[in-house]
Amino acid sequence: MLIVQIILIGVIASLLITLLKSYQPTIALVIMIATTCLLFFFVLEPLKEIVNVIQSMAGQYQLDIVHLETMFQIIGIAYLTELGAQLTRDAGLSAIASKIELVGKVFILIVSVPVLTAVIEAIIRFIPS
Amino acid sequence: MYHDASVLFQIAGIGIVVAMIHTILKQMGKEEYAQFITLIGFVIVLMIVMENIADLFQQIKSVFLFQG
Repeated sequence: MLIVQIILIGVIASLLITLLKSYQPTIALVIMIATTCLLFFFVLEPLKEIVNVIQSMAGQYQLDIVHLETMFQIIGIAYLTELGAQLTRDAGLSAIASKIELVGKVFILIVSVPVLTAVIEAIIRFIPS
Repeated sequence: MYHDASVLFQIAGIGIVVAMIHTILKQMGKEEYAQFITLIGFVIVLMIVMENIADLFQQIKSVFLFQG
């Protein structure tokens, strides 16, 4: 099954990494990066279907597409920053990892600015000025 | 479009070969060649992984509808 394949890839990769760590720590890190990319591919396939299903549903019921797009972008940014932060933390550089997380949070904030403005305008419209 | 796990084994193989050559050259006393071999091995491994990472980020961009 798919899940068994993923688990086996993870276990084999960790074995290879520990094997190579004492001789070539850099190449061990590169194997770690390659494994995370490989496992991330497995996640992307079902995720694509989920995104398409949600979009088609939104299209049918005339939901507001703008916020849906930003939601997906926010999820994507969160995914990427998580990937980068964990990799650098595993390599032993927790300072860089926390900086990556900081940048990820700021980018999520930037992407969600239009949503914030829409919410604030809606609230202001309710107040009988 | 599942990548098979052969990429991992290629990288691990290159790493082991480079480590062996490194120790052998060090035994023979040729220290600088050992460093060169390690560097070249690392560059090869990096080239292999580079395509994977580029492919992955392209996929992510298409899945999460990134415009930026």
